[in-house]
Amino acid sequence: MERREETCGFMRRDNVPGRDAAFNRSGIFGSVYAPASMRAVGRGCFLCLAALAVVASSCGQHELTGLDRVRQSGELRWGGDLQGGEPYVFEDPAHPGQITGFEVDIANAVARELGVRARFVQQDWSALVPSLERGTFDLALNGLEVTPQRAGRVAMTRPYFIFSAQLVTRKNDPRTRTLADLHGRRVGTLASSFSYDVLRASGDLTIIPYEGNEEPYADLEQGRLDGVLLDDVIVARYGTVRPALHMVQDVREGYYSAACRKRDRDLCQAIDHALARIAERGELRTILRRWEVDNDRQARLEGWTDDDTRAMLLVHDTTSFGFHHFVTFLQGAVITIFVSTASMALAIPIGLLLALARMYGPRPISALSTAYVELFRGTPVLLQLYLLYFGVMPWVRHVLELTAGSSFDAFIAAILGLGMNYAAYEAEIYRAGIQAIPPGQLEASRVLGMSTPLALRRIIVPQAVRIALPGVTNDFIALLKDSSLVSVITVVELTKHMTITAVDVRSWALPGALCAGLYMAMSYPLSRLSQRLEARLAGGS
Amino acid sequence: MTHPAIEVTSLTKRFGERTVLDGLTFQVPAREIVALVGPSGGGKSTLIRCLSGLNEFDAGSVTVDGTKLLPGSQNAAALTSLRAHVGFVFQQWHLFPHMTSLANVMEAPVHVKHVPPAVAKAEALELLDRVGLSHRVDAMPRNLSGGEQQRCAIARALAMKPTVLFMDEPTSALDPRSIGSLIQLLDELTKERALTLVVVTHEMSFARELAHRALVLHEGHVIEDGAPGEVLVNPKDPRTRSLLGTDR
Repeated sequence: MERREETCGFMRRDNVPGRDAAFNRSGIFGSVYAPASMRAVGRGCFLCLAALAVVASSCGQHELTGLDRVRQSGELRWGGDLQGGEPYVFEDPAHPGQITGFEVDIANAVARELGVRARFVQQDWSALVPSLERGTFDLALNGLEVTPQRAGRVAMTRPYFIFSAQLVTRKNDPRTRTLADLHGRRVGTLASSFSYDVLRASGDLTIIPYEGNEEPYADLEQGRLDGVLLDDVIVARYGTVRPALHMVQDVREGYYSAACRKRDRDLCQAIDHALARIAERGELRTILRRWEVDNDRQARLEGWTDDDTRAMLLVHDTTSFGFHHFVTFLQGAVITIFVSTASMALAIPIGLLLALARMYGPRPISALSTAYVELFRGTPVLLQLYLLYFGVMPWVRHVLELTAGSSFDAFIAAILGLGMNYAAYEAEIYRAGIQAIPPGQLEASRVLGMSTPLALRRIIVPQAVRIALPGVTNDFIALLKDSSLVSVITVVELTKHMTITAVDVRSWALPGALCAGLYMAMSYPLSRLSQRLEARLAGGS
Repeated sequence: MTHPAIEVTSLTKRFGERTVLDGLTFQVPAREIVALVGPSGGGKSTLIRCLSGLNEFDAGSVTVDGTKLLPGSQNAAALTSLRAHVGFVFQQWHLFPHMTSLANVMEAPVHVKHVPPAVAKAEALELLDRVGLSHRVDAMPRNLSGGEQQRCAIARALAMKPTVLFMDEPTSALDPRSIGSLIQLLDELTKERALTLVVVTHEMSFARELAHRALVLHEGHVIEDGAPGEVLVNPKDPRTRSLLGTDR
């Protein structure tokens, strides 16, 4: 599994970016409707499976060469993600069920050159490279930027598009004209993208990684960022459409290439030649023009030589997992613990209040509490985080006329969002715990003259806590892992460090295993502690 | 005290269609020990639950030590005032399982009456000693025998210094020897503390030995009212006779 490294994220253009992103994410980590614990388990399993798949794909199956196989089957299976959206590969709004986009046209043209049909295979963008290696398709062609890491991992063809990583800033910040002006400030981009590498090489910047195209620009507008560096195709569609923003600098050029498995070198070469032919006779630029992504830079594609390709692929990264990666993992683990603990510290009292309000409150309060639980349990936590961070918090700042957003926003939203979501689950656990207390306990308290609040505080809740404790621990462990969701609102925690590192070192096995080990190291002591607490508190009737 | 400890007037209680207490009227003078006897379902437990404000009732009125309860849900002031005078020992005791015997007894004085903990502790230890639990003050309820739990529950009720004590089926979990010592304990405590005691029981010998007076409840009516020696030995009502016959 590889995380989105690319400018063509999954975001469809939509007026509700939060909702879209929330649903898009569901594809990566299993249904967002699954219970919290299942989501977390799903996420962990996926990492393990991905690591296994990488190992498995490196051995076995080579009877035919890649090109022979494609010719024999008569079709070129190519992978992409429809959710990458316009203009890459997307579902044709005029003809539902049909795909369209400039990459569809290029894939069709390439297949025609090979004398076969092109067959599209849908795959989550983040899993394109592992799926290619696994053999789900023969070619990945979906905004894959040539990065040193990717060049080191798969066989890449000549480019079919030359993009420019462009810096976008706020118009009301006119003194920021170049990347150099942003030193010491916050710059957003997509995690593990070409632009991400450019920013990392630019020294003293705080890089905020995002997972969608819309969100970094929303945060830039909010003042949570001071600049965004992304591919020009994205800038035109998501960035400069916002009236408060403008493009100030072409920072660096980069290339979109198609990728084959390393061992299918002949297929890679055949596709490379096919691309050369369609570029030479002008078909490539006709396609780019049709999709309004053509510009002067693309002229170089027509005279592109194999030497140019070699030069493009010359820098390929062979960094391996090192001690500094381990240090960033530990830093991520600290963030994970901080966010989880703070969220739980919020969830427990809110949950208790909700449970008591629901069981003992007057009717309107009780109904409100029930509604809260149903709302927060019944909607994805990812959606809640999005709405809180991108919707509610900017609105609150606006209404209260507070200053623009800051780096604290993400942490506050993360802790509030997870805390309020988990409070709903906590409430149900406490309610079950309170219901398990025999009614005689409340009667005995009443005849001793205790008021209901006093009886709850002294008699009922202390007993319910003992019953609820295993459930609460269970939730806390689930929360440790669910806290990885906050990376979508730019809080970089353990899992995010892992996915970024995995791309850097081109392997999921070691980072995945280390990440899993750290999560275990956090959750196992918790379950031990809970067992001991349960044993000590075992005082139930 | 000139007024009776308990005054019940036309008390009626229904559970849905079923009338459990049907216009009961009686009085209990202060410091009297009353045994409520009668067949199961005769309304005995419901009666003492109404008298202690645990159940609402549908008609009539109840006055306990000067506090009057009316039909329907009670106002908080009346209940607070009532409970300052009333103690209740449940059939299943309902001790607080997460607290030691001592903490069970101290709980209400400290948190309801705001007695200083040191004072409450001294009183609780004295009470536990009085009921014969001085060696079990730090035990959790689950480690106490049935008889010990009952005595702890009595101490817990008495710690609030009630003038009226209700007990629901106190003999149901006791062996005959323990019943004997319970009778002695209750006899002494009512005298020492000037208590009015109302005990629900179906154990006739217990009622005879302990009580000054027996009330026989049958289908929501009082069918016998008199000294236990007479009512329970030579009942006038044939239903009482059949009750005693099945009991023996």
